[in-house]
Amino acid sequence: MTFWAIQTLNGVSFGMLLFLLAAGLSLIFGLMKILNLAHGSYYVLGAYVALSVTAATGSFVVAAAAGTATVVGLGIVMERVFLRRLPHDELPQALLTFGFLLIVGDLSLAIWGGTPQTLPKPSMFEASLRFGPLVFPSYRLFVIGVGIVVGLALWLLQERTRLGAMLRAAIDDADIARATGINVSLLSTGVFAFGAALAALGGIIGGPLLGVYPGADFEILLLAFVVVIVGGLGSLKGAFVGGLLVGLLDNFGKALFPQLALFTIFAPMAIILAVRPSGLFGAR
Amino acid sequence: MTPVRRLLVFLLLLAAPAAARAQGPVKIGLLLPYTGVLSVQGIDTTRGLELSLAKVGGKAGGRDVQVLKEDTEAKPDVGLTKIRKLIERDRVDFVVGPVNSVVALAIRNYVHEQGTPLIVPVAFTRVLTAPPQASPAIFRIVETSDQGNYPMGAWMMKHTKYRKMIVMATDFVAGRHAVEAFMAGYRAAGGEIVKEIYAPLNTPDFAPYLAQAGTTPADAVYAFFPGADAIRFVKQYREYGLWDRLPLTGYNVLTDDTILPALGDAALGLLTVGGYSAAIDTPENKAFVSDYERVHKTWPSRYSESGFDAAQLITTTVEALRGDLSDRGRVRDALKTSLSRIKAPRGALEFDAYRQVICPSYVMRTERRGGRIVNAIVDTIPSVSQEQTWTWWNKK
Repeated sequence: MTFWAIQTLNGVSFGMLLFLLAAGLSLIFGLMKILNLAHGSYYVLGAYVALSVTAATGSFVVAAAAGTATVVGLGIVMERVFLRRLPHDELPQALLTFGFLLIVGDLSLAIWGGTPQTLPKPSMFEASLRFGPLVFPSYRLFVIGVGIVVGLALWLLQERTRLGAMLRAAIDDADIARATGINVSLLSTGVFAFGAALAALGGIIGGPLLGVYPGADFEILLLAFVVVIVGGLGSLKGAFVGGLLVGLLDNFGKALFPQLALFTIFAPMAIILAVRPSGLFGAR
Repeated sequence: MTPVRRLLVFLLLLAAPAAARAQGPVKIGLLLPYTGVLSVQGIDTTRGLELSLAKVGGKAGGRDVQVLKEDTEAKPDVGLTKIRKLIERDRVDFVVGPVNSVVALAIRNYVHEQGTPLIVPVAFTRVLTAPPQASPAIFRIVETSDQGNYPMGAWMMKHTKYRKMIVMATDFVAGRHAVEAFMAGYRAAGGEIVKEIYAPLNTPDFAPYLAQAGTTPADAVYAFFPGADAIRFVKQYREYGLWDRLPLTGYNVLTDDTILPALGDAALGLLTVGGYSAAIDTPENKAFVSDYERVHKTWPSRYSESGFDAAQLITTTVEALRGDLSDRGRVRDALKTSLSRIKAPRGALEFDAYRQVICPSYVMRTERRGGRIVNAIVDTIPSVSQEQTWTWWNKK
């Protein structure tokens, strides 16, 4: 009983973390059809800036704000100055974002060094909770909470607000949306910045669990891809369900069949791709 | 010209290249990772090496010592290209490197053919200095994974009450070899291994593995995880409350001096075995630590210590040969005998017949001392040679 309870909680908390990591990637692809390979850089940069600011100020909230702001700045520059010049050009876009991935990786190595580091947790979530024989880290409950709140907020934004309606219109058909007076250009920049902010948030929330180190950008990118492919590119609902599904399957797979550990994340992806090539909630 | 004078000129001409060579600097090529995941190890090794050279004024045997750095990026193909450059273009006298075992194995044949001495400071794969791979040109000053882990099995049986243990390790060759050696030593001393758990390299979340360990009745866990995995593993081990029932022990990569700051309090109480700790209480080590700290504002790691020893080994060798490195065979012989003459911070060292170091191992416990978390020395396991640990995998 304890085993199943713990593993379920583990799976859900890892799934929520995956959702936070993947949501931005999915959102940006949905609107702009840009596969942003620099997504992993946003994670790393957000986490590193937060790490430095925590060391200087000791405040998790200030650190989170600074990390997010830096990454949003980078996202806006990338979209306005660079990606704008390459509309609907998938390969150059992919190459460009890949270039950013390498540049941010090397700059981070130069600034923060190669030693693996972890972000400190907010002090109120330092302890573990005990329910009889069950021991669970309170920070993971916090991650589950953040995941649910972000998921709900995104859903409300997309389904219940005017901005969300504009967004959905632009995703469906950018030209018609433009013709009806929606400022798709501004919307694109906004979405790009917002996607970057979500990835930075993933870095700040995930940093205390996953750590931050050279190479983390590629690993995070891979995890985000898996989730987005399972859930369907461009769908927030897909990212949420996909994250949860991958988190749970990975966790139970590793606990029950440890020999298949390398397999547990990618097997669900392969199966879903075979059955539904566009993912669970992918369009078309 | 008289025949005598002609002979003199002839002799001078012959001597000229040798004299010119003796005038030039002694060249040391560093073949280390300076970018990527293992860059910390490369940088620390270099710092230790440069500290040692600075102490002798950058000179040995009356010649200047020149250091050339090449980045392996921790990749075998890049490592091979770079060592070719060092040996064929720069004509270095010694190569120090590499950090990771795959690079070591990739360059082994080339080094063996060229004969330029290679001093290995970090890569610890057991096959590099065991027949048939052992080469007269390869000198390793770090313990193999066997020398580090095997004796800990018997130590555990003698000094602790742990009779049933779980091993947990990263699922690639370094991790597998490390715990394999520990298990062999532990079983030979009468202990029982009740479970083996392996997690892939770069496991983001150890929770499912920890849950498996938690449901197995045992006395303690012995683990091997490097780098970022070590940080996640040790922290999560603490968070899931396994400490109350299963004390954590392992090889010192778990609480390496380079990651101790990132581990913080989560590392306290961990019992590990390894070749070096900055807390070793000898005059040689104290001098080394204080010199290092003055320059770099941080404590040396075992990589810094290995780099320091590599430089000492080279300068002692060059001194012994009075700066004349023209005969490769004599250089290799001098290297072999010079190791026992250096003052290594980690204690007395010497080479065995395969030019693999015989060195002490240290059992350490992670403690807080004056605001700093250190690997305090609990016990010293006297020199263990690789041959003593061969019985279980290498029947010669």
